[in-house]
Amino acid sequence: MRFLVRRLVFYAVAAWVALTVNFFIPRAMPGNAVQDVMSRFPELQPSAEKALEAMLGVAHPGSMWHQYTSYLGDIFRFDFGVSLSEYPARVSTLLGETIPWTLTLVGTATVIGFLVGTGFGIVAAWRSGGWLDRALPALTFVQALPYFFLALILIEVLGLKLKVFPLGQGYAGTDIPGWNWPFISSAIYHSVLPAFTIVITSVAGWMLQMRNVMITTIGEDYVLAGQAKGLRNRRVVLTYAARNAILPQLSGFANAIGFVVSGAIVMEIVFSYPGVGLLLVNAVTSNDYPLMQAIFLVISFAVLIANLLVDLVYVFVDPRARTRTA
Amino acid sequence: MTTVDDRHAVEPEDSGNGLSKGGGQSDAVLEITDFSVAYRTLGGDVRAVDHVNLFLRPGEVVGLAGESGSGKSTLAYGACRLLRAPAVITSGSVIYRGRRMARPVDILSETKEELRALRWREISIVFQSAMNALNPVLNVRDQLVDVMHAHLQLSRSEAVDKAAELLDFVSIPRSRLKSYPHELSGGMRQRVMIAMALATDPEVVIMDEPTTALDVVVQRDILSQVVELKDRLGFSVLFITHDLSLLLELANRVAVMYAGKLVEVGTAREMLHEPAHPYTKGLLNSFPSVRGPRRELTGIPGSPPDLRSLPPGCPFLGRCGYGTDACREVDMSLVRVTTSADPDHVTACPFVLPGTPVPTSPTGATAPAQVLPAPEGPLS
Amino acid sequence: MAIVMPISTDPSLVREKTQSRGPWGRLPTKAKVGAVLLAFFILVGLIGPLFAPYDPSYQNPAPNLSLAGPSFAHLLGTTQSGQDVFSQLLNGIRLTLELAFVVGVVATALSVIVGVAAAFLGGIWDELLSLLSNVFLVLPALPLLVVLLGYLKETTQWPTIVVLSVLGWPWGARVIRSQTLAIRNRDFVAASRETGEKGWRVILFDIVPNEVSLIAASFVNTVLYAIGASVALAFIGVADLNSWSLGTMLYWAQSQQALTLGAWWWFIPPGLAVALIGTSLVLLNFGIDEIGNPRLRDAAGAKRRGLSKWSPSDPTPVVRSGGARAAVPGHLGASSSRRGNGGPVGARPKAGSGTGR
Repeated sequence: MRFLVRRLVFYAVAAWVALTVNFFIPRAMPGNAVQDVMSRFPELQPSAEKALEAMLGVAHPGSMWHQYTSYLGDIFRFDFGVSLSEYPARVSTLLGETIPWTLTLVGTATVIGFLVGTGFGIVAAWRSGGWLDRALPALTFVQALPYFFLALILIEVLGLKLKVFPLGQGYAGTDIPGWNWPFISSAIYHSVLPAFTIVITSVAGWMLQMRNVMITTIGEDYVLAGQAKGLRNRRVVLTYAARNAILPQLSGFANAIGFVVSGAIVMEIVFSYPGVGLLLVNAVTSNDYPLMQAIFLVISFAVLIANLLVDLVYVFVDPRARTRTA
Repeated sequence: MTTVDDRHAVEPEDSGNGLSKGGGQSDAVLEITDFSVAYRTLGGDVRAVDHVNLFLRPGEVVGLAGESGSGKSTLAYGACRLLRAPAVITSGSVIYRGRRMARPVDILSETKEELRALRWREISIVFQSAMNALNPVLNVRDQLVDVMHAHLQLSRSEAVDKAAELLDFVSIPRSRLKSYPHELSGGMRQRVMIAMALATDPEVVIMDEPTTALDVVVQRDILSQVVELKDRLGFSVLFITHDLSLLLELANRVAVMYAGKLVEVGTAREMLHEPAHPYTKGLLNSFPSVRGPRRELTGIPGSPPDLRSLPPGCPFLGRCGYGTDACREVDMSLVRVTTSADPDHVTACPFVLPGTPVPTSPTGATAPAQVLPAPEGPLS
Repeated sequence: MAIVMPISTDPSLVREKTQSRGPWGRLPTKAKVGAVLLAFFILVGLIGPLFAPYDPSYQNPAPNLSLAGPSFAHLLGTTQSGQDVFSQLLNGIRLTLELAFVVGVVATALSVIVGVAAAFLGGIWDELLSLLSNVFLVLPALPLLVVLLGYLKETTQWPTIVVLSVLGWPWGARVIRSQTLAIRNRDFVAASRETGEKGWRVILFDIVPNEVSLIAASFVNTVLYAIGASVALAFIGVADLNSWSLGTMLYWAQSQQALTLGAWWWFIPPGLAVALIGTSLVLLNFGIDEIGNPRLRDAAGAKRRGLSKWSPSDPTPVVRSGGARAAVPGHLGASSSRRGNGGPVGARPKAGSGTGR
């Protein structure tokens, strides 16, 4: 478990860096940027103004260190301040409303894309010359498409022209959020296109990657040994080849989580999906700095936690990792 | 466990090639005839193994020696059809006559499923590098047990018990069943490979340079264990190596390959005392012996030929101390060594005998014709 | 943009000699296609804007030219405000490529320096640099960029370039570091050091040449990432909206409901351009990967040789060809039956050996 402990320490350090960077961003901005921000909110309530000043480091209540520690304290109490654009809503409330949407949609779709793509990759590697191989160039192209491009085309075709799926939003305007069936079914219905977009664009990437890793792994002696042992084909493919090939693939997944999140943000814009991504963009357009920075923190932490989960899976799958130190 | 009594008893001293018995080797458990393997490349076929005949009798150890690239591993893996694209088998037959088989089987015409059932159960392999040949994510027990499940009808606990017994055979503590390959030492890993190779009581065990990566002491240890197991369980061994000195003590018969062709075959004693082919002589000259008179080491100048562009005649011509123009007409068929005590000692060189001195010509090395000091005797 | 491809980093696949100077024909097909496609776009980026018929920002007030379809005067139609899409596209390609290549060069240079330094210096420096890289790797770039650029609005492309470079080097650094570590322990490097070569010479002449394919792939990846990030940022609306990059075009197209209004010529070309540039880079990357990884090459080669539908679990095929293509012209003894010749060794013809039963 030394490996996991080291990873935990690392994530703690990364989290601290994220927090600190977040703290310093407004303070590091050139002077006129701060003035600019302040001047955009001439009619703020005094409490909000005070909060904004505190966040931007304008008013200097106490030393930098004091600000820093009180900032950290706030964060640990999940107090991210008050939103400027949705005043007087608290940032934490807004986050609480949007995070579940993003988590379920993006989380599920990403995992599905990964599993499906990896599965195809295994098959593609084991049978050269099959139809999957012929599809490779097309897949390469699909994989290079920006998320939102494909999303818009899908909306255009499936939403507008064919009217099969709704054009956006998380649920129909007439439904009331809650644990009622009309709402839930509507939510599912509305999540199909966005999820589909994510899965389609990511499957190609995962498939290509897994295929390459599998091809390298198939060349290893232990796979040949597995065949020489007269084991059933399925065992050789899965337990000898794939189970070893999945390790670099998992690492790739961990690395890609950041990109996945970024892609999801953009996708939410296109679909007007009520998730964290849309919140971020709205915050940007309305210069809602407390909200923007809070979202950055939340996304960073989510990525760190996801990485930790992948590490756990990795240790479970690879016996060598349990004794390794790095 | 099967015992030696069940098998056709073969005295190591008596084993000749059997060629003089006329007709085929109907007592051979594995008979490779006229076997050729080629690699299909964009530039044409590369003949990695060229019309080789080799056979293995029950309980026998046959050594297959040669430099890297001589085709020895290709021959062995090819016979089991384990070579991957672009390798193809272009001629020959590989007949297996195991005791469990109702009738002789030509491996080259088996279906995929028949082959799968035959592999390991009848013919198993000890790979060269155990670190690479053991699955890193499975522990020792799982790797021993899975092959048993594939071939034998054993319950889970029976299989695990047998796995433990196998480890006993190779002197590894039973607690190591739960270890992973990366947790074992090099020698232990190799021994696990040997245990794994014996898990289903095969009749033929192919050992592909099993001790090359190990130090000399461990090597000796493992080899003596192999011989002991062979005597106890009665399997045959095809021992592939580039180190002829190992074969002196281990093998009943030895076959030497060069550039994909056999150049000499005979009993170990005869061949290694009185080698006939210049290549064999050269190989033996390359090894210092611990005892005996001091002599000058020569080795073989040059390097193995490029198989894509072999000149006509004998491929060894460019490096041979005895080479003459006549060698370009040689067709590499094996002929008897008349001066040999072994009636089936054959060589591919029709010009050179064991005692033939090296001509003092510009092409020649000045190695004297070689007589090795008497060996200590076979390990068993 | 979808997932960035990592490349083979298995140290055992590092070859001792660089053989990158082969003729064009020996490159894998993927690399060739990718290179040609990329070259085309680079060419467009370099000289395209010179051929742009209009100033991309020029808004033609004529009402019939608002959201007009492709025509002779406007090859790719016009935008909502009468701007020529084709001119915008040409400029967009140049700007996007410019940004991406600058980021690529800077970030790759940084990653090589950090990666090699970390591997070479070892010890505490290695730990620190690795920690730094890993932290930057794990923190998601886009949200950070959004926040940063949110504060720095109304500026040129430079902040984007700087931030992307700063966030883009860790990935390559990590890969290069692990490869350098592997090479460093190889014999030929030890030999150089033994003969007293100075550190920097060892780095420059022994280590770096062996990592060329890795560095090339890293560069390509970084360019890919930069394009994806900049397009995404522009699309969100945080990047400089006054310059005409492909992302900005997409932003305006989206905000003016181009697709809904049926103005496909505004929306599709920039998106397609991004996708094609991206594809060319990925193909190039796969090609470079194949150069460095012999097993991938074999797999690709197998396809070329027409070994269709081959699976590793297939047993070695038996092809009894009497007329196999011989690579050995004039070699005697190619026939299958052998008879010994009576020679000085006094041989009896070898008795028939093992004719099968």
